[in-house]
Amino acid sequence: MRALIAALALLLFCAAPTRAETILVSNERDNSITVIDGATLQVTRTVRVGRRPRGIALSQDRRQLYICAGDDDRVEVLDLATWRVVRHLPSGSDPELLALHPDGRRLFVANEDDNLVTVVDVQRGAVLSEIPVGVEPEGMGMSPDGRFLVNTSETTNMAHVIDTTTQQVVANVPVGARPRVAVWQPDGARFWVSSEIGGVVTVVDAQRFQPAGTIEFRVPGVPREAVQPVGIVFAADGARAFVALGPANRVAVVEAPALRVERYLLVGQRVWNLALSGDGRRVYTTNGVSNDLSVIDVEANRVLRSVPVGRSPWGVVVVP
Amino acid sequence: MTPRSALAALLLLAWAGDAAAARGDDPDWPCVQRLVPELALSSLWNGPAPPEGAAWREAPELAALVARITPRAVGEEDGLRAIAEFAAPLDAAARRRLLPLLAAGVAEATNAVRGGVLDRIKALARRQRHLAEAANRTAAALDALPPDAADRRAELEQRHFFETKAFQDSERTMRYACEAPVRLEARLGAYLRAIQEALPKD
Repeated sequence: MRALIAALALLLFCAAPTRAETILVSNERDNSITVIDGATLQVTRTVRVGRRPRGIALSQDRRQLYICAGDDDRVEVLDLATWRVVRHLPSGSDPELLALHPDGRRLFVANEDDNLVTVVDVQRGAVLSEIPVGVEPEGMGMSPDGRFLVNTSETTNMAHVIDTTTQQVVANVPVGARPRVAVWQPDGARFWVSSEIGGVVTVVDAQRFQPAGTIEFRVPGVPREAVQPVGIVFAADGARAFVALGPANRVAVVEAPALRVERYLLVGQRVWNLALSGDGRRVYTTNGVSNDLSVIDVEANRVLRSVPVGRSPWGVVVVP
Repeated sequence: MTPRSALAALLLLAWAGDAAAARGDDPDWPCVQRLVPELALSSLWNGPAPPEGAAWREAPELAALVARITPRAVGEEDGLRAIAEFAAPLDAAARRRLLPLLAAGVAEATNAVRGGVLDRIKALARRQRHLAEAANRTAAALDALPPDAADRRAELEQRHFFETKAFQDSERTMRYACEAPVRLEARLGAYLRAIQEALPKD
């Protein structure tokens, strides 16, 4: 018996692969989540979810995925062990993007149609409050300490800074036209807001809530109107940021402190959102027109691979 | 506001809202994605820059291939097969010479096809705006009718019904029409990646 246990233990030990990450992609037009093994970059499964899935975020214990199912007016909770949608959370109408508070309980959801940010308790599955914001709220950036949430409104062209404790808007910062995504630097000193029509990223000082700089993008040979910044992700050490430029089909690599564009990498078509791998060595991009995921090697500064996913891939998160 | 004029106002608003959200610079552009008038080769292609101008037209085999794979109705798979068949017999030197020209050709021809599609979408958007305005005017006329004008009311109500229906039909057409340039963009990207893949690696 003991020998058997030892043999089994040995077998298990040998069979256990090095712990690999999983990449999850929401496919807006396929109503599905594509699951990709980070080690092999193979698609391992495709999970049917609610209609028009866009914004996605991991639960604090990393065992569940919150999915904005915009056309079903709810947030779905996908269990990452059974790959089943186990719960629906109320979200208000047409949820597009969401951000989980570091307390792991409060989920902030942008409701594009209602000009609201809805706060949901993920444990009780209940709406805690609704915060009025600008017209067509979109981007949701949670500060690393959870004190502030930055929401962008597409039509008002502003970033609204919300105090997550009082749930009051404490500052409105003008940014470029049609702001999309708000992301905080890992050190919490500034947050960055991309503007799809303005073609810029506005960098905002988080002490005074004032614009501290603007990053412009000029891709040789690419007309200005094709440069539409959307997704932003910071390298783990905060030294570099990656900005997705939409139909310019480029990711800009930006020196974060200097706000200087280092280079542009050609990726798939209409690059929308980005995620960093657990080890910080790769950036994954969703490409809405070519229906694939590009894998960027951060160190080598080049694109390694394209992985076909569903139609109109939108959000991407990495499960370490 | 009566329910009817509220509906008409809503139609106009729906139209104006969608358009305002996306147009950027062009007031006639109705699709959700911002208008990119021309797909630049540089936005899709990492390979060597082809010579300026339309040198691809001077090579009859290239011009024929471009004409075969760029019309709107050609499926991506068929086009990719034609590119693979064209590249297969070429040696490295011929690939280096011809494939960048082919890239320039498919980009130019796709932009011509796509330009026509964009013009039709804009015309459809103008028509839709006129439909919304007409429905709005009819609703206002109905609201202004004296209570005893029964015949005139029946006539206007019927007109309003058809104007509203035409608007709604046109909106469905628009959703479909807005997909057409996206499909052309996706196909061009796939062609260019395949051409780039076929270039000698060195």
